[in-house]
Amino acid sequence: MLSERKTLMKHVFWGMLLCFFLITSCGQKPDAEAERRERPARMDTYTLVAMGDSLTEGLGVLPDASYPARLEVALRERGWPVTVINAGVSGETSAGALSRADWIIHRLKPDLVILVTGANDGLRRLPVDAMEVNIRALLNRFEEAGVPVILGGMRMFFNLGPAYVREFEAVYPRLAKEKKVDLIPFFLEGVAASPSMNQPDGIHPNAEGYGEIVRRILPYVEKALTRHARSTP
Amino acid sequence: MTVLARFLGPVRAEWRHAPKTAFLFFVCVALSVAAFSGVESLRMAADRMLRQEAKSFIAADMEVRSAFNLSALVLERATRLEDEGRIRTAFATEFMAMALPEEGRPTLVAVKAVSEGYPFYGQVRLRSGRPLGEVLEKGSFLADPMALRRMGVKSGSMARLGDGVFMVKDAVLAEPDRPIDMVGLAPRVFIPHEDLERTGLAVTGSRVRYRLLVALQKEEDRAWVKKELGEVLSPGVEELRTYEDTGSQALRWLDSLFYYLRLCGMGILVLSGFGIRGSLVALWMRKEKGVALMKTLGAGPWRVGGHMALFLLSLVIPALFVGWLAGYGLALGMGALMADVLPRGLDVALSPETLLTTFGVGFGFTFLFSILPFSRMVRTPPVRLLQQGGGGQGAGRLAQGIFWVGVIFLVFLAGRMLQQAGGSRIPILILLGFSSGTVLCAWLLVGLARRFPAQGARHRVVMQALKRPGATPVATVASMAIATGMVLALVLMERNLTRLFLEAFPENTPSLYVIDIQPDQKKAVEAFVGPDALFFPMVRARVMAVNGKPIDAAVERKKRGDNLGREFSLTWHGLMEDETLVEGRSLFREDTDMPQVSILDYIRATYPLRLGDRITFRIQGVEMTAVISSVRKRKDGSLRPFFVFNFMEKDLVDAPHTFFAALSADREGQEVLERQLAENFSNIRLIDVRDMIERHAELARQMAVLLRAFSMAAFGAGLLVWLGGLSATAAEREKDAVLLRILGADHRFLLGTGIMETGVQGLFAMILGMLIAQGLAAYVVIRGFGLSYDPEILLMLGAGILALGVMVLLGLVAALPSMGTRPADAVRARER
Repeated sequence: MLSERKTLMKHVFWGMLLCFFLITSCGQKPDAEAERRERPARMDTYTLVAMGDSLTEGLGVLPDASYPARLEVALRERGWPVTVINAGVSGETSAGALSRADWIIHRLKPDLVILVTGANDGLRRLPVDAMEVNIRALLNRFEEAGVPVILGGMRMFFNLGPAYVREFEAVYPRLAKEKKVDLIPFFLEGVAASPSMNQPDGIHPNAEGYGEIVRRILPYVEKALTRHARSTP
Repeated sequence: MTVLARFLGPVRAEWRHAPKTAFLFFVCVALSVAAFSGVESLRMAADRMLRQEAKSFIAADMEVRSAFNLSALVLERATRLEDEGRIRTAFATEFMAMALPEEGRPTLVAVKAVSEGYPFYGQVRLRSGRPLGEVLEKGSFLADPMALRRMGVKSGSMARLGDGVFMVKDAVLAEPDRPIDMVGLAPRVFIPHEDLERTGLAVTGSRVRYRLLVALQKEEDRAWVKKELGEVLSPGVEELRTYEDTGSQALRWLDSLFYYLRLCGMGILVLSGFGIRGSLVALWMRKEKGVALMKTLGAGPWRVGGHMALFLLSLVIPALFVGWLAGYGLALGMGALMADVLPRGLDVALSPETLLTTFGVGFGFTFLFSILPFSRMVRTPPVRLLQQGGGGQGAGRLAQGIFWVGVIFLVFLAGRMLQQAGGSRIPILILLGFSSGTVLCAWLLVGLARRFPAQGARHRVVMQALKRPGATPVATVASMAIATGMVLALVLMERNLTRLFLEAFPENTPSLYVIDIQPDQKKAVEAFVGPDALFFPMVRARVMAVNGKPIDAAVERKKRGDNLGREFSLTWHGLMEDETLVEGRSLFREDTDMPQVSILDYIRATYPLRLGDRITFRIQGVEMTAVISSVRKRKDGSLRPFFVFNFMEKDLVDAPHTFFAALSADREGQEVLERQLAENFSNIRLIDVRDMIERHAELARQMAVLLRAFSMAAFGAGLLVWLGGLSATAAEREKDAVLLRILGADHRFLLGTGIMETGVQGLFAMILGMLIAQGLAAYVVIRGFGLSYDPEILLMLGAGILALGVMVLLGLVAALPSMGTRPADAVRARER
């Protein structure tokens, strides 16, 4: 009788131990997801480079109100250890952006680039095919360097002619598909043509406009960061 | 007329008894006032002309601009103001578009749709020479000659803009308000505003600049209209700008010129006062016997005072009126004589404002300088009045009080006039200081001269002449010193402005900028633009900190003028042609490997920077700290490109950069260059600043000429005043000459004493005048125009000696008649 009780106690003990392990191993799955969200696989800081023209540089607003600065704040608030470098140059065309691609790659060593260029090509009504060649060359350089890119799409003003505008706007989705990069369909979505979101010149966002831009591009950036985090050993 | 004759009856006797003196007084007042009135008429004409020029920069007095459709509130308010007759309005809507000719090449153009009334100031010059309003009809299209050439069309051709079809009617040669940032982007095309809608291009999604131009009916309404429109603007969307807001350097020059021409007018006013005083003193001396007689016959102080006041008014009122007309004639004459060199559009007109000012000034000075001798005359008993050389009773306390109140009021009036011209108080203080200082110095000098032991007979005679009854050597020296000082000051200002013109606009001033040249394109672009083009590398960067202390961009951007909160273009380039080192032995030191930067001195006006300070820059995400190795200064008014921060090549060459080239090119050459560059390098852009440079150069030239005209007017005014004063003492001079001739003096002796007398006063006036000139001119040139100052010592000495020569010559000419009077004639002569 006593030996049977002992055996039963042993079974109960091992059974309870097994249950304990089973229960704790099941509960770990959702915690692991949360943990990955809160603390990415890599504990080092990500370097994001915002590359572009005056829309990136933040012409007319204080440096803290530009979209790269606000993006950094927004990402950090969401737990991303990032540094966002503002590499915008006011007035720059796609040709200028191409000429400094190597500097960006080798000097800044980005983990991710947000590329928003071409607006000045359009404003000056420069040939669309030349712009496309430049942006494609940019994407190639970043691809060769292993740097993922988010491409910011642009639209152009109607008064420049409907045919030109159509050609111009088609470049971005075409290149995004060809080079398999993430595309923000229109970088100024929700901001362009809105008097309350723009400075008096009607083309550069004000502080409120940049806030809206960051709100809209945040999902794209997080998606790219997450993908990058997973793929990095 | 009978009433007037009866009213003036008592004073007619005064005229008959002293016709010469009365006439002399009349002439002195008229001359003094003519000088002031002439200069004021010219100044007001220059004011009007220069303001028109300034307003042509925006073709209006003010404008409301927006990148979106103008709000209903603004349009309603503008309509109301227009209905009330306060303003006139016109629309100017600008955007880029493709012009598609029926036969020809599609061309990017900068379209400007304008309504009736445009431009309110300045002119749109057409090839046909016809006015814009006559040619720009519905369905028509006016284009820049470059646009016509690019499209391959001419007058009569048809071209499409958006959904609208237009006929080419004329070529546009010049446009007053072309924004500098639009120049070079695309050639201009004008269409009527009523055709804007049918192009279908100015819609949501297009980039358009909407402008509502406003012209004031009355200048006095400016502040009120600005307030009325300002309160209905959509904040952050609509802006209200006046011509003063364009920030143009040319307009800053104009502002300074307006103010200092007004100062010139004030100086002439002071001179006029001296002139009136001198002749008034002589007049009262003539009337002393008559007054003594009236008192002896029982006339009381009020009767005497009223009688003399009426007599004075009977001379002053017509003299002021004649002086005002003479002044207008003087300004017209000067305008006609100098028509070829004076600025176009200088239109001298009869002005009620000048009339009022002239009468105010004339009455004011006459009253002011009459009150004390008047009071003395009324209070002094007859017997003392008749005593030869006897001292009279002093002026009463009331009279002295009124005199000083009058002086204070005149000073206040002067201050108000200058304040209305928008200037600071400092020039008023300088003018007052100089005037008071001059009077004091003149008093000291004349006092010294009088006490100086006489060296010979001539000298003794001259000392006596300085003490002659009615002689006012202090007033004479002071007035001529001020006149000479003002003339020499204007000459100095004109010379410095001319230097600005010559140095800021040399023949090879770059008029064309080529921007966005990539490093790998530089050699190829050089082949097109030629060896004379200057290439400047440009690296975009921001200033992050100075000596480790971060820059607060928000605070910086609130500062007037330039600030460290903006983006800068760094460069590596040697010392520019129009720069000099003001601190540091050389541009860069050799004793350090640390990155070094040379700064332009003007940036220190907004942020304190010294040699050895460390500035941290952020160049596209990468920080670099450089030590200040030297400070440079640009030549005044230069329109050449400049860089605030200049580095050594080794410190910047690896940073991403582009090149910008500056060169000179004529219009045809520019077109060829543009075509070649566009075909080979689509990213490169040309900016043609030729029009802006020509405009600045023309303005500087006009200002220099105006200053020359004013200097002539001021000197003429001073001479008139002096002649007036000399004429006032003519009788005493004649008496002295007669006495000397009785004592045996010959013509040579009289001539010698005449030269010495005017020479002594002229010399004092010249020395004081030169001091005044240097002080005033230095202040105006340095503070008003922001130039460095060249005292031109040799020129001043030469001009001063010339002025002295003229004074002596004219003094002699005035004195010669009295030298020729025979003693017997003088003794027999009686005032009738």
